[in-house]
Amino acid sequence: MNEVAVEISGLHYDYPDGTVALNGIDLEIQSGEKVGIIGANGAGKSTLLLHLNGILRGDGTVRVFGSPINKSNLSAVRREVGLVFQNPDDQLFCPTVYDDVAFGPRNMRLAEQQVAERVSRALRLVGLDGLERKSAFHLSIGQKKRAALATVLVMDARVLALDEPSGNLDPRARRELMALLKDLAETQVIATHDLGLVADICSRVVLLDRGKVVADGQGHDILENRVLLEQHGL
Amino acid sequence: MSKLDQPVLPFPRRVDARIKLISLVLAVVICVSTPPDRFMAFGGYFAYLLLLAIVVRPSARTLLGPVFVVLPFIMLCAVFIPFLHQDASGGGYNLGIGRLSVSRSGLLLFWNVLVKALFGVCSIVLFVDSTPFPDVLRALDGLRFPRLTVMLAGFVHRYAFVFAEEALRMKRAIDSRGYRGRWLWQAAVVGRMIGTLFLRSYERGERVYLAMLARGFDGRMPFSGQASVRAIDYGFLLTVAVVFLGLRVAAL
Repeated sequence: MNEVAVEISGLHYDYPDGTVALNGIDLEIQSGEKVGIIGANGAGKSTLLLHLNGILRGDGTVRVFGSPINKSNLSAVRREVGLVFQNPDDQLFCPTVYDDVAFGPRNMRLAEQQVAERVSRALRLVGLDGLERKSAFHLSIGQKKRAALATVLVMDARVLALDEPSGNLDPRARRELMALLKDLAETQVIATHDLGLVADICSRVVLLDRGKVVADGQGHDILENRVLLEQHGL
Repeated sequence: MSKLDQPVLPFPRRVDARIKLISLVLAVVICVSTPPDRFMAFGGYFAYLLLLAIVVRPSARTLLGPVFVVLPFIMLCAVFIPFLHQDASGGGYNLGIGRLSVSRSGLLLFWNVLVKALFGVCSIVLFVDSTPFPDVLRALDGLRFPRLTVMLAGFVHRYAFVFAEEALRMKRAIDSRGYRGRWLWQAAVVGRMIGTLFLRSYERGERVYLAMLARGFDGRMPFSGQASVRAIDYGFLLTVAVVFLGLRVAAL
């Protein structure tokens, strides 16, 4: 079980306009761990997630299950690391929920039969079975968030990178989502402002500020340290 | 939109979308090729549409909305024809208002434009209303339309509503801050709104692309396979072909 899922060392990233987003990140995430990435707006949380499957490639190395991300293994890495975006409208772009969830497996060039099996399994897992033919436009935000999650679960990703999974959800949808995330055995990297969710799900918390890791440890140690949190904009 | 998720499927909805598309084109081409004075044939064509409409049962608004959008354009172009067109052998009608008269061949030409446009619009409305949009896209792909075009149409369909909602939210936001849109200088606000919408769409496009990359997109759009065309579908196509060709030949 104690395989290293993600290993980041000396990661720097500047946005094209010169803003420094990541300023020397070192991080090791064990397989099966659920890690909460917290930090103020602009701390670099989302940028860090975009590095986990090679969408952004800053200076430094990111290894996924031991192999450093490079051009030749991008598609393999994206199969291992499923990235769920903050706004489900960015993630769900197909005419129907089914097509959206099937998009990843079809890109993996699976046979349509296998695609169908995987899609129905993923939709059942997130509790959206029966809505295959719906357009994403007709889903509630909670359903959209779960559909977005299904689009990566369907690829059998071993690492889930989730950007603000509970953002914009009403309390019940948030509870349901948290229960779902708790049940999933995959390694999870969750970037969020929702400290309640972190406390509930994540055994480990990483606090970012201005592109640097300022604290990394047991969830409750960090979440109960109010001085630390306030110092870094939380 | 409301019909998109309808689970109960009366007959025309169940026909394969590719077959529906082919029969639509066939019917329209035959109708357009009919000389304008074969009134019986046009009666037959519209009887077919009426039959379809009875089974598909579009709401009055779905059916008439597009008709009233298209009609003014046709009228604008065609309404002068009867006045300007000269009969070769005389036989126009004097309207009794000064020297205003309409020519017989001009009237026929006007009728020609009107009836064919109306047939085209109504057939398309009935097709769209009886076919969920994802099926239309799949049908276009199945009929070997360029995949890029099909993909673009899919994106437009998916995001048009998202953008409309965004524009609506923005309008509410400026309205709640006392914007009345009464003075010329306030036009600048609308300009900025459009600019902002454009920027947001542009950025969304970037994010959607990233989300596609994250799921292994490599520039080739994967589409699902096509269901096979059944006997009932061929039956539908054959019926349409026989009826329309029959009417057309009878009108020769």
